[in-house]
Amino acid sequence: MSGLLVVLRGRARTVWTTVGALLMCGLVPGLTAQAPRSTTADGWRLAAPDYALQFPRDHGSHPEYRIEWWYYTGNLEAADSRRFGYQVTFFRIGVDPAPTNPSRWAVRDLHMAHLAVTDISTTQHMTAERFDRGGVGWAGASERTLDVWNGDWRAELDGEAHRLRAADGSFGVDLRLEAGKPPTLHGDEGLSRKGAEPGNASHYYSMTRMPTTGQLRLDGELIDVTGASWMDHEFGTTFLEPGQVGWDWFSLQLDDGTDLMIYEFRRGDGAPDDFSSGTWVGATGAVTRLDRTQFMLVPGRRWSSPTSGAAYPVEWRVEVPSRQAELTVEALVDAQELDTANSTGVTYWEGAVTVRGRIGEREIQGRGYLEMTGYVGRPMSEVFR
Amino acid sequence: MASWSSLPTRLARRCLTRDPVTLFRQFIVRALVRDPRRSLATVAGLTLGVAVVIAIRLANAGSIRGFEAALDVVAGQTSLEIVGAGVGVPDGQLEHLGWLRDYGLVSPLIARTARLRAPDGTEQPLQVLGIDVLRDRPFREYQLVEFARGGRDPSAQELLALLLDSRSVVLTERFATRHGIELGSAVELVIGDRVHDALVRGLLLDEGPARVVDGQLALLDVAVAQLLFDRIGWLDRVEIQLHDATAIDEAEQAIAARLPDGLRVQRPAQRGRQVEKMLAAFHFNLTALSYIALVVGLFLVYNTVAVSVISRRREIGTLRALGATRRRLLGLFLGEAALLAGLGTAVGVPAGWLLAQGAIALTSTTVNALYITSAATVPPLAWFDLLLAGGVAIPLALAAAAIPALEGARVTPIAAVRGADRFASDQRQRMGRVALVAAVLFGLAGWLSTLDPVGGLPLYGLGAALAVIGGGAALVPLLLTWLRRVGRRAFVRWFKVEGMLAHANLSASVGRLTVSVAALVVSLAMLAAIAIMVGSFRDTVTYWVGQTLRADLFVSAAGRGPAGPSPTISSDAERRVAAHPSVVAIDQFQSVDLPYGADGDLIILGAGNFEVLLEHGGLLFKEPESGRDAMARAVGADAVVVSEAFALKQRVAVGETIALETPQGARPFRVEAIYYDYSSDRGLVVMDRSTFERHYGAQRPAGLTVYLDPAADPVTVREELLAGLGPDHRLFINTNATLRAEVLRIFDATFAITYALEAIAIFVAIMGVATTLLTLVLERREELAMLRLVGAGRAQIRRMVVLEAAMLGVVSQALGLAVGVVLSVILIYVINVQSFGWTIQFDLPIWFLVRSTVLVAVATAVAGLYPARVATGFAGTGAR
Amino acid sequence: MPALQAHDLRKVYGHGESGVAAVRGVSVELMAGDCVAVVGPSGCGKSTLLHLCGGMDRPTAGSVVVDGVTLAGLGDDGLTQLRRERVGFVFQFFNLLPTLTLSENIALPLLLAGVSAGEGADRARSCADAVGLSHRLHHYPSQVSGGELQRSAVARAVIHRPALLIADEPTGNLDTDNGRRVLDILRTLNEDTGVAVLLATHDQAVAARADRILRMRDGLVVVPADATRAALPHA
Repeated sequence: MSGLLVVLRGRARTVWTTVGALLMCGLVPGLTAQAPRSTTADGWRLAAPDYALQFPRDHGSHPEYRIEWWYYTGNLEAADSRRFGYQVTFFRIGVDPAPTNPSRWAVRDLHMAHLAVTDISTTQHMTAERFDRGGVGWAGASERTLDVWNGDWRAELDGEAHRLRAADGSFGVDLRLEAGKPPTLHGDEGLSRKGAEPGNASHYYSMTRMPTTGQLRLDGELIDVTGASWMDHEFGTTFLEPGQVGWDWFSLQLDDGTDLMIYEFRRGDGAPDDFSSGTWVGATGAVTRLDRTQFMLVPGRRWSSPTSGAAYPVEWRVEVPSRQAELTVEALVDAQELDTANSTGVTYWEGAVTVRGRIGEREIQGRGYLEMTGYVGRPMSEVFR
Repeated sequence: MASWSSLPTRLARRCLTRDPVTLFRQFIVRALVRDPRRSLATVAGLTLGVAVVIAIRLANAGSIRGFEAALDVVAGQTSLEIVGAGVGVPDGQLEHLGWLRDYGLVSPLIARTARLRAPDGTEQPLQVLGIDVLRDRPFREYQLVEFARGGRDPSAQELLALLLDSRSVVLTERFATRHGIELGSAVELVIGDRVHDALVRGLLLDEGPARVVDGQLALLDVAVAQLLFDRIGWLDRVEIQLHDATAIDEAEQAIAARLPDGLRVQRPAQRGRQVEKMLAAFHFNLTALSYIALVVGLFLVYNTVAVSVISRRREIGTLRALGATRRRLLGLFLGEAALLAGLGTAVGVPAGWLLAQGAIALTSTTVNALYITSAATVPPLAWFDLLLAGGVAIPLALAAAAIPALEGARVTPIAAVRGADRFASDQRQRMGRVALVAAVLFGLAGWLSTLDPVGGLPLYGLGAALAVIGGGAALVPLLLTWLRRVGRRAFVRWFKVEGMLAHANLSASVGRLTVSVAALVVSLAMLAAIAIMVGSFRDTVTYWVGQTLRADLFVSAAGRGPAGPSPTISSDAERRVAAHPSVVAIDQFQSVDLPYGADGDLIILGAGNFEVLLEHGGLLFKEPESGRDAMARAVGADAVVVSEAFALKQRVAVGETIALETPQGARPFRVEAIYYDYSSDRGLVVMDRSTFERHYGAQRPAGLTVYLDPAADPVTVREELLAGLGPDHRLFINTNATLRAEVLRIFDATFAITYALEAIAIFVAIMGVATTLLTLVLERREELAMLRLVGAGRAQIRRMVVLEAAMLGVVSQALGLAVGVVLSVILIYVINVQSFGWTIQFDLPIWFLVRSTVLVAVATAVAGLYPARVATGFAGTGAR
Repeated sequence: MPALQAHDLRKVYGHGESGVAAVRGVSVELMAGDCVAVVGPSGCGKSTLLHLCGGMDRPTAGSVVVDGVTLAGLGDDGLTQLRRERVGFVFQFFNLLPTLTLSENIALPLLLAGVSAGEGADRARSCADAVGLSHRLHHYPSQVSGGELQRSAVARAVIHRPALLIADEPTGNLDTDNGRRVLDILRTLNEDTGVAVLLATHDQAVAARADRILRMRDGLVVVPADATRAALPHA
């Protein structure tokens, strides 16, 4: 999962607290253990089990939920074997489900987007961000199918394939992502619970292995690339609960055809949170849910960011005992930190990784993406209160 | 040589050793120092002249600068901006303008004015920017006090969070401190007719943009601004910050080529230029007027140098006898003029700055009333001002001094021996030539009056006015000579012996007096002309107001309606007004600024309900005769009626078709009629409201004209309407009578500066008369002593000199009036028409002219008091 | 009643030690019909003496009584009135106003005293007759000769029938013939009207025509041995 969601919410809280109660109503889930509600007091719909995901409709936007994102990451390779990682993310954050101001500029949703490209051979990591309000067409998302945009950054459906375009000055991506495996629904039929309170959940699915072709632009140079991408789409209204300080999220594509998603919330005392979970996707598309007792994450070497000071574990040991999987995950480039001061306002690490290890007796290699949050800035518990 | 002893031998030696500086110091500077009164009067006159010129320049610059300062705040780092036709940019267009991102960053903007009621009870005007902070950050810097304490700028989200609530407003720290506002204070924003409660959510540091408009700045979110200003669906502009600012020309062309109809791309400075152009005629006329004071000051220079030459013929003769060349003497006297002008400039420039403070108060009233709302401030003095003043005053002073200086240089050495003979009076031969000059000048004026303006400025008209002034000045020696011949008997009869003596003295000094009297004549002619023009104008406006203002009540959202985005009447308020039982009909009127024609002149596009106007209103039509029928034809059609100023300036006739920019691009409109209007010189184009809405969309009106049941009392209805509005609305309702008074008040305020300038010129001119008389008195020292000996009392001497002064005043006024009438004809029928495009009915304000004549006589008589006192000081022993 | 009684007149210009004494104690008395000449070199104080006697200047010490009026008690207006009514003046440089006709110049004292222009003109005509100028009445000073100018000045000096006529070098700027003619007129007026004449000159021939001669040097009266009638000695 792209747990950034939480950070966004936390961020929103700090910011919007000052605006007043208007925006804050219902933003503090889990404090009141009452009967399940279907919406928050300010009108946002809560993620609930009665929702059945359908495609391509659910590739589209769900504006009745407060938070939503489309998250593309991938590992790419040029003809000359140069390797690259990329990340394109679109966020939609609801502010007011029904603004009274009839102005087109009245903020119902804010749209943010992040773009990152890692040139592994040169260890260059380039990032860019976009931040706009919806309503005037500068950013938005279709409710019917996949079509989400922010300025000229866009992800849209082209037949079965996803077209992904984002560029900023000298770098960017222009890619075609074939569907590959069918969508993988996480959690319980796509309902991914994040906390004890029933509403604290999201609807969450992934396209775990999307054969990718297209062009990468780097310092103005156009490079033909091929590779594999991973798409996450998640929407909900309230997610995290007190004590969930940050998380580490893995999306791994192994050379035996297996895809593995794991996220683990970190608690203040360093212990993993009960609501951490994962999904094992077999080469044929068979999906197995992993609860927190079924995997183990062990951080290894740390890299300290010279700009933020955060110390991120850039080597991990990932074990899934039920599958006899013992994997080592290593950052391809240490410095893949994003400082998104002008959009989400969060500093996190998101980067291409390489995977080595074994499943049972078999030597396994793979590629993937790793996201680590909550290593710098205020603890989440404070943000929440 | 007898005179050797009268000059220091050292001085004589200087003449021969060719040391011009020392000679200048000894011969000119010492003489000026020895006669400080005359020197001071001359310098003071020039100082005033220079000061007035500088003051008007600064005040003019200040009123534009006030606007440009506001412009700077708004423009920020903007390289280009997209503007719409009159009503703004429809924000629905933005989706189709995504390609703009290829050129640069894009940000929407609403820039308006509002008033804020502070907790200290005062109400302050504010420049309001409605921004999208997510887009606006690269354009303008916002440093908030509460973040600056933490040593950082607020992030976009933080600013957004502050502004998002529809009650949020961000003010400046400077403004807040001044009015006792704190973070979190509740204030009231008065926008249009509505009063909104607002909370101060942030304070901008007193830096950068917050400072430029003296802190009178407020930030709103663009959505909130649209709501509060009744501009849902519209932006005032879309700003662009180019990726490559150096390629601005290419970008401007490329964007212009791609923009849909109804939108234009321009540079922010363009708006400054438009305003500058709009004010050009007004400023040009003020500047021309300001130079009169300087010209009159130059007469003083002429006078002073003439006195130097005349009173020192013997010394000049001695210098010539000792070997000083003519060129050296010329240099000496021109040097004197340059010295005086230099001093006048040096003092006049800072004095002008001080004067500008007063002048700007006067002009900004006008500028605000008629053109733009801006906080005018006097710009600081620049070296340029000193150079300008020196560059104008000193050469002109040299030119003025050249005539007497040449005369001085022509003095022969024999003058030293013969003694100081009187100023050669060969007036008689010259008279013929003078009369010819006057005739030629008046003829020239007639011809120049027929020429067209240059670039909207009445350059030839001004030339004609100058020619008339010159012709009038040329008449002065003729008049004085005539007076010498015929006046004696009358003077003796009216004023006894003093009259006889005064007339005799003046008659003897015709040559000397000509220049001073001419200066006074010029000033008085200007005053008379302006009085006639303003008086005629006022009569015309009064008549027009009487005919045009037919409605019983005039409802507006602000006290007056300046150009630019005007505050609007909410539908809520309109409903309440319409619901009053005494209201028979309502006309909603609307006005927007619209660039017109190839030059992009900012005209005013107005909209009104033609049917209501036809039934109740009273427009005065110039063309065609049946203006009302023409107007009836324009109801709902793509047709307009235009003001006289528009027709004149844009050369448009009835029946022609003009192209007006609309949000859908340029559209043709047929001109059905031309009507008289004196509310703006920019030119008005008025269309029926339904036509307007069809092209420009439904916009809230800027005001309502309300027609009442004849039985109803407007004052009572006004009070009932105001009482029914409640605390959340505020309307200004003028009754017919109060609006008429208001129109005339603005009118009078507009011309206050004109009179102020003219008064200064007259003051300088009267001072010139006083110094001339003083000179004459000093020269007649012996005669005056003689008079005292033969039994003239002090009172008689005083009466004599005062009488001389008053006679000069009356003679000047008489000629001034005559010239003034001619001048006023040029002002009214040439300069006014070319600058402003108004038809003014000529009308002589007799009483004003009579009063001013008495006043001038009294003022000059008073000015004669000082030379009179000097004159009585010469007691008996003066006689040799 | 004496036309002029001046007693022990002193006049110091300037102040204290730097002061220059122009007249250092001179007394003179003229009865109606007297004609006294004051003679002496340049700077002897004769002009100052005349100024003091004519009420044009105030003495530092001493007293002046003209036609029974004591000057010491008069203010500026009083002195003006005295000159207008009881004193006439003739000067070396004529001192006519160039902008008035001879008639107007002659009538000026009367006009200044408030006499109507018509009466002034009439009396100016009769005065002009007396000095032989009736044909020049409407000429301006610039249009007539020096002798005629001085005769006009004399006419102006006596038009208001003064008791005392002060003449400071009246012939100094004239040729011999014209000088003699002016002197003749002065003597005739002196004898016919009884106006007392106090005349300053450095010309012995002029002085000789006076009844008495007052010889001055360095501000003092020097009593001459050959005086026909002795000047009054002073204390």
